[in-house]
Amino acid sequence: MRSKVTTSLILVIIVAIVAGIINYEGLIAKNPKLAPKLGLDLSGGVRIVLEAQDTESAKATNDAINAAVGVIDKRINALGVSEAVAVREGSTSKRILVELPGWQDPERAKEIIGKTALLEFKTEDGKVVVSGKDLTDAKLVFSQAQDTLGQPEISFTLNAAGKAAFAAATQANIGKKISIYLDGQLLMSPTVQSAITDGAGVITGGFTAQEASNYALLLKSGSLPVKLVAISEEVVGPSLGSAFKRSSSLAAVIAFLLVFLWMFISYRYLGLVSGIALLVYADILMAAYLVLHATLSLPAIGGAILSIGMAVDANCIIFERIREELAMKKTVKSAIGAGFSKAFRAVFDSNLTVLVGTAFLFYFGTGTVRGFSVTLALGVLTSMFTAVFASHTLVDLLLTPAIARNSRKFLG
Amino acid sequence: MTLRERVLTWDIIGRTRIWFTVSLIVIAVGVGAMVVNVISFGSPLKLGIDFIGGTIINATFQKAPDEAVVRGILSSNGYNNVTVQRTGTNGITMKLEVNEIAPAVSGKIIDELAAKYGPVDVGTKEITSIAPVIGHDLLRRSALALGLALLFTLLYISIRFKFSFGLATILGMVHDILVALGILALFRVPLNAPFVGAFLAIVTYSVQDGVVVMDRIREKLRYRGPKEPFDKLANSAVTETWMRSFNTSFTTFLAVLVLFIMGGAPIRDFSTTLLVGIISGTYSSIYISTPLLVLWVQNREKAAVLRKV
Repeated sequence: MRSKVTTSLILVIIVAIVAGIINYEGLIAKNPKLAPKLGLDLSGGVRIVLEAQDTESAKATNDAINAAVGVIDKRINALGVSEAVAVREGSTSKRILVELPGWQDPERAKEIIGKTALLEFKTEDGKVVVSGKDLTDAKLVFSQAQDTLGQPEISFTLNAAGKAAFAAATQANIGKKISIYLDGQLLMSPTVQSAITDGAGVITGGFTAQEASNYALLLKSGSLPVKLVAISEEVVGPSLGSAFKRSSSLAAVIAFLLVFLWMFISYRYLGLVSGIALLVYADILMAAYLVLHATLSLPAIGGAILSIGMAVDANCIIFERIREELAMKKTVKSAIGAGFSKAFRAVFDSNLTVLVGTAFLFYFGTGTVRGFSVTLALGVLTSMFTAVFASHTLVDLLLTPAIARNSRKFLG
Repeated sequence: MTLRERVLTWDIIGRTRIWFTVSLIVIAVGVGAMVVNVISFGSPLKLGIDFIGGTIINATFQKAPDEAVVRGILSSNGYNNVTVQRTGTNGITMKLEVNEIAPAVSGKIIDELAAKYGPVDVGTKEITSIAPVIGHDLLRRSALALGLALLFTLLYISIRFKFSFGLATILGMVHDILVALGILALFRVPLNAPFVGAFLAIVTYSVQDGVVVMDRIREKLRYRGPKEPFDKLANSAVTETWMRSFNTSFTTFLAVLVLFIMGGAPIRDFSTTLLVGIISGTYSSIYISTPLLVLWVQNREKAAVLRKV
């Protein structure tokens, strides 16, 4: 019996320490890989809703919208916004929701996200010889040529297919012009001097450095297969949640102390156990959020609070059960054993019901709903470990002969 | 006699009529509030800016603006349905429930604020509009997700317990939704995006709480004596789990209460909704779901007896 308790205890302590290290790294040492991921409502930023519209050349089909989401995703990642999100509002919706936490400039965001960025190289007779999808790289460079020294330009590299097509086209059009269009707008039309076979070149078009850098980013992430119009843009004050963020740790501590106090009044020594279990719970849950990069937004915090309630609930169910078993004149030891095993079914079924619900919410829901279900599900799973397994270990550990004799003191 | 011992002597199921009446009154008040809201405002619930759209004005001044004063200035310009929040040290966010604002009017508001709090910080003034339809799409999809999730929850309870247990639990949850919506309608709490999360929490809490009580009934059924009436059995199940239900919801209540007090204005509505949900959810699993189950089972048992005769 004792050795089994010791093994369980070591397991609980190891898990708690590992979680503690993760939390230290993420919250105090500010390890970027484990930084807490805050939702737009807590960190502030820009939220833009785009709507796909049919044009003559491109219909807003399902595939096109999904592809557009992929392209936008690449673009916002290239912008370097951490935790940026681009999602379709529903599987049949024409709307794409883009959230850029921490971002402050909606105009630049719109420029980068909503631009079609279709690059075309056309011959004099209007034939497209190379397009943006043949690009492998594009970047901002500054001209080295005498007459345009220092002007911003976009240098590009073509993939194998583009390289071959470009070589053939330049070969066939020596002495003629090849025009470069971006979103239908003529950027430049140089006269071909000789065949270009290395699949690289520069585009000049009187850009500012900012424009050239934006275009390079857009060209690299590919063009949008469908026309997108921004129907809504919103700068969420970064401090919508800043008052909350400041006071949230204090709020968490106060809430914990109150819960702990009440549990101690109600269940004495057992309440003490549930307090320790709750601490371990918070420790593991926070680590799980950090490791899995769960987005913490207000609804997600709702899920987290709910899961705390459920973790305490598991303890209440078990402790009440132990009391009932004691009332049947069982020994303290057997009452505890029976209490845990009989209460387990209620805890298991209520938690599993919630898990079934959250699984479907996650599967069918979008952003907000998913955030809620992720934190709730993580909380439920963690509470099964701490409120049932860890509590049982701790209760067994506390079961000294003195307490076993004096069950009133033990349970209040 | 301690409270714990006293609870065990309570006849909860015997007073079903009282509990149902209390709930009906609360729900009726809520429905009444919704009707009044429809007549006077056009919609049963007060939809916030996230659902109906609006205009947001952001600006930072030299001195920190006072929320109440800002609200007064907006009101004197004809905007009463506003959300005003401080941002940063000297910034202010004003959310107006109008889809468009004339540049002259917004300019006037900014000027009045600048007269009090010093000139606007260059580049911090932003006027953006939010499309109203966002909420509708999201809401429809969330409602669908919730409906399907509940269907599978019912299925799960039916498999682990019985269909009648699942039905009673789900009806208890419907009760909680009605109560919560009623209270939101009564106090005209504006519904915004976080409400989706609060609402999901209520539903989950209700179901979770109900399942624990149902588990006790299921356990008692296994050791049911040949002559033991179902209502007595159910009554001892709820009285035996009463203290647990109370302790659980009281501790969760404490946690949400702290959030309510310390979270500040932005999440006050969110935590209010949660508080209502917790109280209603605990109440319904004891006083609504279980009596409903008793009525159902008793009817079936009576029918079975009649068939035998």
